Amino acid sequence: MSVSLSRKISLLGDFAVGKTSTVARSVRNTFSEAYLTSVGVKVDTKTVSDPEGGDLRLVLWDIAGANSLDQMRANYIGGSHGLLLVADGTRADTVDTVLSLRDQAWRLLGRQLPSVLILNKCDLAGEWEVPPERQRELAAILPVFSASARTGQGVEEAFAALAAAVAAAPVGLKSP
Amino acid sequence: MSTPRKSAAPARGRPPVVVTFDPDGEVLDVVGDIDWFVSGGDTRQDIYQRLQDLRAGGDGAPDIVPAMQLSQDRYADVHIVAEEDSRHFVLLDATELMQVLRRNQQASNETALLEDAQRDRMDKDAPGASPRLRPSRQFRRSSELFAEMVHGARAPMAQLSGHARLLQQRCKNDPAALRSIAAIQHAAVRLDALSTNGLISLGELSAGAGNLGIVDTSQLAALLQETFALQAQAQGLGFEVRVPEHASPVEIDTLALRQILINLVIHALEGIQAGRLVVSLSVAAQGLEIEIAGEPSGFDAELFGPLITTTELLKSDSAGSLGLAVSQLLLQQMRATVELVSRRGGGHELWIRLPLDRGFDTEGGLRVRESLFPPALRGGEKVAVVAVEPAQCACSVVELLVDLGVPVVSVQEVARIETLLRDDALGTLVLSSPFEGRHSREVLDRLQLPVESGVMLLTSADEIPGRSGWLRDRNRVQVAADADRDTLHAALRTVLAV
Repeated sequence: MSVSLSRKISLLGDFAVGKTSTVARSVRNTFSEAYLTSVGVKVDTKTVSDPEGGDLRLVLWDIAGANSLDQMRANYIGGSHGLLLVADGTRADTVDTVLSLRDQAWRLLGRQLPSVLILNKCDLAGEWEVPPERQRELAAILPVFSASARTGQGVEEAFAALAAAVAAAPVGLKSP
Repeated sequence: MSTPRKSAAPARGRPPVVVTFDPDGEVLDVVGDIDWFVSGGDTRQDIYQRLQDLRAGGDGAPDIVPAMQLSQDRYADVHIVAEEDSRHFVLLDATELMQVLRRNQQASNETALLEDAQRDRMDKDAPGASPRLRPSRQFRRSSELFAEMVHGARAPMAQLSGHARLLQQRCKNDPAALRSIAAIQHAAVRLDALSTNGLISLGELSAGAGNLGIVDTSQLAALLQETFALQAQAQGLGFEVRVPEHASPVEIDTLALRQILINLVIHALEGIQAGRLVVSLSVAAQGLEIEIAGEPSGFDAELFGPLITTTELLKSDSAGSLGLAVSQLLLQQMRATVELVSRRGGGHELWIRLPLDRGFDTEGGLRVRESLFPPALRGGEKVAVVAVEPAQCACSVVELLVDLGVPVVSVQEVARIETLLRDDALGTLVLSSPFEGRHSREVLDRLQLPVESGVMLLTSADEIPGRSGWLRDRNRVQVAADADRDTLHAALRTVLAV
């Protein structure tokens, strides 16, 4: 009999990078062109298969975008097992922001968590601001996926990678 | 699973809801109106599941989750209390607050994105001309930091309210304990008021047509009575809220009205030494009238005098009462008339009239008192789309729309307007001519807007006959692009009311 485990995943990123859209694409396979800013936090779930044939239930905390973790957001991320970092590939500064958020989260939690970076909006090639060399630098420090919540490209791959990393990481122990 | 039962007494605008789960995750008990938090396509079970999911984290998972979206347009501060094997989830409604914050945040983010895009364009046109400065974003972030600190006050407030709520359930027959619990709840009310005052004074919240809701004055009176009666009693004062027997409901900014009343009653209780505090609410033809009086001696003129004598208390009276200053700001935003009236027996009382856009007639039907915005715009289902160049002009229009409480999206491309149209999200269009290098006629031909859409065109002053600075033709308003703020405001109100 397969065992279903739940793992808490916090989504971090600047405002308007597409965190909510990424969740909507992954959980409900929907997308809306209208930008509606998030406030507070919304919790969704997504079940994926783990490598051993069981189910892994990802509890996704979609936290309102910001460039730093204030007291309220710091409170939200407590007990996380993994981080889904989302940046907007058409706004290069959002990559620096999300890496800073990751570092801040690790400091607050006192441990390094499995993390995956999504460079969202890859369908907007003409506006892309993250050059290939920068992407290579990023890929050297964490798994990076060019993705589009609008088309769905790369989204499932990013979730699968994060799920595998979370499943493999001993709970409460450091992870590379 | 048990059937939800109604709660006994409200502590805030809406009474807390308590959901209790057994160790297996089954719902044991629900106290309060859980259905308020069920909206969109969700069911009660979805809400219960979301609450259970909060426990999915490892060590350090939060016991207090402020501003959690439980379903579409429904938010709560959630406080989790463990008791032996069961867990209580105390839900304090934060819907109104978060909806207003979201509207303001939306406008702020849209403006920031617009600024970024313009800066990028300038960088591309003149690479290396100057370093990329983001002064307005820096300011925005500083302001957000303070706002976030104020937000932080809500977590302990939720904790206080949550525990008080649970204690209340257990001490139903202990009057002394109930008095202590009521005092704790009063402290929570004051913390809540302080937090909201902070957000308003930082510009994160404002009163406006976008926040309209229906208020039944008798329910409002009951809320004030339950919130303040015990505190007044502890001070040796009487407290009474008077409403006419058959008062009509009114449509008004509910969050602002409640905040004004709570602030003013707290302020009055601080300034009255003896007798009774009386708050009277009545609906007249000209609006909602509020009287706050100290009986029998009246108030000293100094108590509420600054509301009348000082124009901008928030800026000019930093040592004064924040509650009073915030109330003044909200009253101004709601176009209220405020007077300090001399009483025959001595002293003064405060009199306020809030003009209403709509009221209910004696048969309960809604009637229009003056022009109002379409429900879809007020409800946030549709937005006002600002397609205006140059950016400075776009920012002015966005600012005015935000002041009017209208959800707004600023765009830079015709294609983006088409997308909003396709999503049925466009309520009103503000369009400059030219836009994206095209004459407005050309843009409108391409868009093929539904006939009922309101359109405001910003054109050259030469195209506007007469002296008013703007003209209207059915649901289309044309205004000079260099019109002053008052003219733009009047034109916008007209097109929004179409």
